[in-house]
Amino acid sequence: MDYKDKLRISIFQIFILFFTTSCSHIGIYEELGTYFKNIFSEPDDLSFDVVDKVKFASMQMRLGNNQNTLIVLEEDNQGILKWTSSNAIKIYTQKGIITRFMGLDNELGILEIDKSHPILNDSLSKERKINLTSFYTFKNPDLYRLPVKTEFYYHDSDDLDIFGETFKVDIYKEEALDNLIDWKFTNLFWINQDTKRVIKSSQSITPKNPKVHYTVTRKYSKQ
Amino acid sequence: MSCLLCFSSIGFSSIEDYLFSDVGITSNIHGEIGLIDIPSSRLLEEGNLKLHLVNSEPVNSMLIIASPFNWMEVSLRYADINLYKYSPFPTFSGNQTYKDKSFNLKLRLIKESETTPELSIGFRDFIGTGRFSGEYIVSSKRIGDFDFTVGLGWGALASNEGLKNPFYEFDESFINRSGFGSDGSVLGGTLAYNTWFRGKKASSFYGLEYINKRSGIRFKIEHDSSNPFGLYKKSDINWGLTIPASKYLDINLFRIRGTDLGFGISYKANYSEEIIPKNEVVSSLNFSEKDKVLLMEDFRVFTGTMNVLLNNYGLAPQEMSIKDEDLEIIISQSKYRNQYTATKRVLELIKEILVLRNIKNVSLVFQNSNINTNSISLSLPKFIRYLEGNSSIPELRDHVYIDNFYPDPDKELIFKGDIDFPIYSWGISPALKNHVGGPERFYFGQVGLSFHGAIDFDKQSSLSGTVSFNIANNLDDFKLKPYSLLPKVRSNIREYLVEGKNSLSTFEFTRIFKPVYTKRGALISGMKVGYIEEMYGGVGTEIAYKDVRKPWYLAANFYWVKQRDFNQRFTFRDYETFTGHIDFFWDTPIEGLSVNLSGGRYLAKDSGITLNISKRFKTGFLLGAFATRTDISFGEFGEGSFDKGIYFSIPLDIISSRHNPNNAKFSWKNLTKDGGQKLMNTLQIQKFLNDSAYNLDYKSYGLQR
Repeated sequence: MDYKDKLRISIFQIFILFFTTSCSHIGIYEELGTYFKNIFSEPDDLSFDVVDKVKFASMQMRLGNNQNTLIVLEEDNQGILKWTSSNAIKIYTQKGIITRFMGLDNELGILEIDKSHPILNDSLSKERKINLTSFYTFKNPDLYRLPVKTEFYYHDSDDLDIFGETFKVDIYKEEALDNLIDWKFTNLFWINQDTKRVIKSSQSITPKNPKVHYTVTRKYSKQ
Repeated sequence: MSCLLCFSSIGFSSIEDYLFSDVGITSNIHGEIGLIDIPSSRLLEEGNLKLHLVNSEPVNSMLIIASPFNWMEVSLRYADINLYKYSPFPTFSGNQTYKDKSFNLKLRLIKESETTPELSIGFRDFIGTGRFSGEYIVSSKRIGDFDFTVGLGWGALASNEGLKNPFYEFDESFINRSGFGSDGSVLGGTLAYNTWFRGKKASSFYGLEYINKRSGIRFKIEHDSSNPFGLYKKSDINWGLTIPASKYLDINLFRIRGTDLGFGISYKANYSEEIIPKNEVVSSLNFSEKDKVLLMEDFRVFTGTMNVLLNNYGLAPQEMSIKDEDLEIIISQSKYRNQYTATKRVLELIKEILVLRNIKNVSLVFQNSNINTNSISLSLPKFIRYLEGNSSIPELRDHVYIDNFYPDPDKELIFKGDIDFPIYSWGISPALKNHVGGPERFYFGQVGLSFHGAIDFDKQSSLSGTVSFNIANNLDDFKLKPYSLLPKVRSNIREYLVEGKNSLSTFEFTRIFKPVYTKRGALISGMKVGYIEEMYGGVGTEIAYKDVRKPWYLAANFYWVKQRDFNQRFTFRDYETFTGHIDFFWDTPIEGLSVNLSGGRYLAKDSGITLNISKRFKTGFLLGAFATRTDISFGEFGEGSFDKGIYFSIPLDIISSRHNPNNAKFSWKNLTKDGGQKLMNTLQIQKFLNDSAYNLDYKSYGLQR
């Protein structure tokens, strides 16, 4: 959830609180309490039982501060993975980078990733900062091939816990530098030190949507 | 970068959509959509609600602006006018400045097209004291990034140097603009139609807005010759800008009269649309062959499985009956706002089980308390086709029927929900009491805690109460006693606030009687006895009739009540009365628009009618207004002339991905007076049926969630 969403919801809550003074109802305060909790903390992870029931490759995903949902691998088309959720959202990833996101009002039509992206061509380096230019196509409203310059660099190393299993990860950042719509974002990639694959990520898909956060909950066997 | 710019000129036809956060049209200092002081013809889209605060000395305002329709904008203004004192008597109101409450109304007459401008008519302060009273006809046309506005104003929008009132040519009486109310009284609060478009002068006004698409900032400049308060003025040109802080928030800075700087801030949102969509996931079921056999052959397994699945989603089956291939489920739920959403969820959850049992038709009966409000019957194969994406909502509608509940004795009862009564419940909530605009001080208030408790003896009977405790207040600064020509049925509010800081707010026993079901509708009734509200205790009964196939229904209530002591404990004052009303409710053919006409005897023993009009949006957002006229004169009523007010109700789940039928409610009345006052916190038995009424209007929306 970006700062605008938080601001929007905070204002809404103050607005509600202001007006509920004339009619206090316990349900309202419980609901407001939940909203405040959601603002200041991340939504709960899915339970292991929910994830374990699905025997296909899967990811826990959420949009902004919404509740987490499970998305399942539907198709592997020459390394571009198509994931689907129960509410008909379709996500395409290439080595962990979201290249297409369908099912929202405002969609990422296609992301043409810079060919020299270190995640794409397995050339991650902790020392080197690399400048990239990728092309974003958005839908509704349509915007065709917006060039976005970014800087990709190593940020930190950490231990990441997913359902009790600990992974040693390197965290890389991709920061937007220059584009025609002053779109500012920072994508984060948690990369498994052993497999060199993205196992967790936060990525901006369009300027009109909150960030997408995902964690790989069941690995795709071919990656 | 030059390469990037090259792209922009060739392929980026929609780049503007991503360039800035457009706050959309913005308000003037009077709350109307407009420029700085002048209105434009623009209106917010229906379903918008806006809070607007303006600091523009010497008049500072708080405004609430709402758009029940695309062609109507109403606003409520609470103004602090630093030019005058609250009263000429320091012993009465000290140094407090004058406060004024008023309503504005704008109606769009002609919608803008590519070639023609938009035209609107507006009434400023059309119910109030008339301090800001004025009317206008205004037209706006957008050309590129510029929005041009030109209009003609009367009353407060006219200046002494203006034009001769053009209506004078038709009728010489238009030259006179005197008296506040329609009866010429100075009490305010009436429709001052005898002053509309009158006066010696009318003045033109004009201006333009420029929208900078890179920053989203709106620049405004206008010519406005009006000066209703006779302030020092160096220029008729006002200018300013509106800065978008987000899609919902804008900040306004302006220079007015050539002398003063002003500041405003607005928060608006469209509550007719969900801000955060619902995200409820229903997993499909896979049964083993052994399970399938059990589900097909054993009624207990069949009903028990469905009971568990449905209860997980807040859908509580009360009874299940079967006849051949028809299944009826009586269900109680307090999770989904819309019965169609609940219906869809039920079918999504149990369709596999129903198919195993070869069920063809399902009838869901919705139960509220012990009242079966209505049934929704459907063809299961058709509904499954819809759920699987093989048919559309319009196709499905032909196979979904709404009807009154009527018990079928031929059906075999195969499940009956077992509730372990009595059920005890309790809760704590903040108790906030406000009293705004008193002569001693602008704001009086109390912060406290309320403890609620209830015992449900069965589905029909409950005992409940609320105890309130004070944490902090400034109520002791109340000095003045109310004056009223009528029995003080509400105007003793100050005494109740001061002496009832720690109080027993309510303590009451409620019973819903056994409903009478016919094929032509349900007749329901109930009673209430105890300390019904903070000011009254007593006993009463209510009755309602509704045929869900009809757009109208009826209700009636009758109570004997006695006024409680100010400390709101167990004792009473001397005043007692019978009060009661007959209510006619009509869901008009205009989607979401409802009318309630209520006639009867009020608390002060006055008799009359209350008209209540409301617009409900598909999300549950509600906007409404009411007015009461009884057999007392404007003089007997006092300031404000008659009782009236507005209210709105915001659905809490509009910003949640979870379903929740609760709303945050706000109501505003101009003054607490004694005429036209109803008993509060009554049973409102019709609400048990009404829960099903508005839902029926939004078939497709409920199914989409």
